[in-house]
Amino acid sequence: MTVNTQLVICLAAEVNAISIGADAVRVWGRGVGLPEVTLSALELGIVEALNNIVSHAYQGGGIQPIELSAHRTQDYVEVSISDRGQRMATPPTLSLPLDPLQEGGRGWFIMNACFDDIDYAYESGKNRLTLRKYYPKGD
Amino acid sequence: MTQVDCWSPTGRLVMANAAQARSEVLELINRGEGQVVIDLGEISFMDSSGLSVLISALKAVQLRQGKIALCSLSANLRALVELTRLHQVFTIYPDRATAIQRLSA
Repeated sequence: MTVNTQLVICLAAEVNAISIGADAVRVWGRGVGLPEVTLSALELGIVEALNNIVSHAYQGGGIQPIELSAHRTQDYVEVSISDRGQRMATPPTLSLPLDPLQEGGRGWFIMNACFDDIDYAYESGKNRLTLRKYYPKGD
Repeated sequence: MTQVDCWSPTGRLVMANAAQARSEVLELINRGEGQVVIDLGEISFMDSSGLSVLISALKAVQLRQGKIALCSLSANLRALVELTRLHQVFTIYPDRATAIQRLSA
């Protein structure tokens, strides 16, 4: 039996909370019957999104809140992540670094690969990232 | 026969512990002969920060004109490495024994 409920959590924007948020989504996703392949993509994509917020939006300054919510529909799962950190100044780079030995710069590429739709908005002092993942056909 | 060093991180290799992991593997590389196997069999999850640790290790080994290989990747980890095309810069073996044998030859 699956329970079709929404997940709503608030995390501190610090590196040790990122895995807690990802774990919470995984546990919730199992509870609502998401396919394992969807759960793996969700976990990786959400970790990359939270990494960006901690290291760029808040730039490691103090313990600030991140709100994360998730819900499922018949066709997809949608995750919304909000923070009050710095607005994203330029569109993110969605491609891999030209230099394969560059150590950073893969986060958005990975996040983009994990979801089917990504929407970013800045409203009323809040960054809001909406991430949608459709279920694989046949599930 | 060449000495091969093994680094076997466990659990999650993510932003929270990437700096410590990088320090560990670089110390191992600097102490040894530059032949390194990174056994990822006990890694349950890795993000882009974890990948950056692997790249740091690769660059350190290249500076020493050594060899580096990854082994024992889970299906999810293998998918991440292939997604980011790092399978084109790392040699990957299915298990530690094979990796050590190839690097020590």
